[in-house]
Amino acid sequence: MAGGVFKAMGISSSGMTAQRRRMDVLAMNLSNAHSTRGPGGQTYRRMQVVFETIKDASPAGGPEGGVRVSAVVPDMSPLVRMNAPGHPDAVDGVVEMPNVDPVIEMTDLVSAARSYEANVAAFRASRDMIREAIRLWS
Amino acid sequence: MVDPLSGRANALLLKLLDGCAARHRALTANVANADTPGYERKDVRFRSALAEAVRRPGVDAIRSVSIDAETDPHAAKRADGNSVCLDTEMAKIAENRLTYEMSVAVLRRKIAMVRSAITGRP
Repeated sequence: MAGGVFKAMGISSSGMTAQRRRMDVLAMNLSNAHSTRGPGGQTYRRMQVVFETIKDASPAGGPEGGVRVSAVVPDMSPLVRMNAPGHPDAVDGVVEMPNVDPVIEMTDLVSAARSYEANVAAFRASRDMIREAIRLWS
Repeated sequence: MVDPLSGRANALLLKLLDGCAARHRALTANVANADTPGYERKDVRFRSALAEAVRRPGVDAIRSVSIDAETDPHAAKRADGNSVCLDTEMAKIAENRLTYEMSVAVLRRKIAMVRSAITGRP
């Protein structure tokens, strides 16, 4: 009976974990908004998280019905070409800057924080319901 | 003699608790997947079936009410194919939790009745 609510707590925590990973990636994008030397020596590309519903429960994968980050993939939209002849990474006076738009990252960050909060609220509701059931014995 | 901890009223209360727990699980999964592309919201619709079962005699009708989570076909989808609206999910969680707490409160009353019958104290 209460097992259902206990499982709901696991689902909510999978949501919190996924949203926090999303925030990590957003922070990485923001801090690398001007990195012309990213991983592999190339200009940094904006990274994106891919969310996926967990269909089969496993100890490592999380609870069934929850959510997980299945991949972190680079955004292959064109890089920003900037005219900067003095830049050490410039080719023919043009340097390729990362395709990171701080405005998009910030709005995404707000959305991730809201989703995280919603999961926390759902978790609290589960906790209170279990507490209520425990009080049956007092 | 009327047994306060068995019978139809109790079967109804236990089904309400089970149904609310299953619905809570479905709703929290919706919240967790609020940003998953293509995810369709799920819900447990057992209240009307339970109200129907209460009108029929016997305990089995109440016990056999299904509390399985099903995809909600009426929810509007966003551009990414996701049909979760965070605000309505949170409102449903709050409403569902109140139903759960109400069932627990009634059950507690019944247990208190049995306890006072055992101890002889009100």
